[in-house]
Amino acid sequence: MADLARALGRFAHTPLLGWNAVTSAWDDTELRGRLQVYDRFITERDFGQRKRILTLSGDRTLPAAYSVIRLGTSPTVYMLESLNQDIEGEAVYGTTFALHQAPFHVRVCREVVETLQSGAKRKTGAEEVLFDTWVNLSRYSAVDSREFPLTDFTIYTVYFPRNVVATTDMYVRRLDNNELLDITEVFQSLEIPAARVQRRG
Amino acid sequence: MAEDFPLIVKGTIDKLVSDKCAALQAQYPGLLWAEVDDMLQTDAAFKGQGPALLWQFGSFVPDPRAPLYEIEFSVGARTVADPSNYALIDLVSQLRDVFRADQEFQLFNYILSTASPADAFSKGFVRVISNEISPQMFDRQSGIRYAVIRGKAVNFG
Repeated sequence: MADLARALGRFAHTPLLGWNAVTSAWDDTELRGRLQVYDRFITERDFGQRKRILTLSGDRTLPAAYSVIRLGTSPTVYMLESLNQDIEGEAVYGTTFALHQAPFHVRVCREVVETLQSGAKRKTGAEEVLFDTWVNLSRYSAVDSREFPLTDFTIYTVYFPRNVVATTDMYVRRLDNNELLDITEVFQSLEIPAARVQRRG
Repeated sequence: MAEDFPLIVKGTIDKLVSDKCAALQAQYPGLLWAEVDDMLQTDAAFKGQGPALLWQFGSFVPDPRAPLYEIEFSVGARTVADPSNYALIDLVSQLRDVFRADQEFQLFNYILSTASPADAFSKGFVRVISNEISPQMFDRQSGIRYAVIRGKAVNFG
């Protein structure tokens, strides 16, 4: 067993840096891995340009505090999508991470709604900023407007880092182009939360 | 202000329906309420699996002229998987009982935020002149039924 772990460890030199939301800095997790060749249809609509496989020796895993990681000096941000352990006999000798690229920096917000004395709710027009994070966006479909027959709305799937809690009263603001995406459904995709969103406007 | 009067009427009906919804929670846990033209709330009320109280603002016309008005609105309920529609009829009956014919309800400014002090002065009243149950509407697995309420309103201005 130790031999298998040593063999894996011999090639594992790539450092994993985890985003520390408290200090807003990238921490060295002291984990070392090796990227593997991988090319598949990997999401509902995208080809295999957004996922990588990383192998580590032994049974070490990414600490729960880290949602997004970087590898070495590469600026590419990844989420940990799933984790598989390789077992021989009674011991884990290696761990395989499925990494999902998160190229979009976004801000997750919620519209402030107040309750009136009548018991009805009213939007105040104010925006509550909840958190900033990195996500992957994948176009899913268009949907017809129920009010305007010639209008279609663009539907995306958003893949969030694993520590994010998303709900349907939130919306996502893309920080690259300021587009607003309303969350309409939240579901789990492997170990990360995903959401169906509709682009506003 | 005269132009705010429809809002006062709407806010008061919202209040009466939401109070009834709160009062029925023990009997119907998770009961929702919605004004059916309110896009913020209708998703939960129409797509959920639980029962909901509904109401809709119909017409509001000077009769013969302000500050006297004739108003019409509907109150009702939606239930899902409701054998024999007993829950539906019970909810409609309990809600329409709030607006009994030949009785009045006072109109207050309930459209203030809960953070604001309540406005204790009546802005007018509605005298209900008829309260009639309409035919049932079906939406696949669920049923909706309304009672149509007609009344005369007075704006104290």
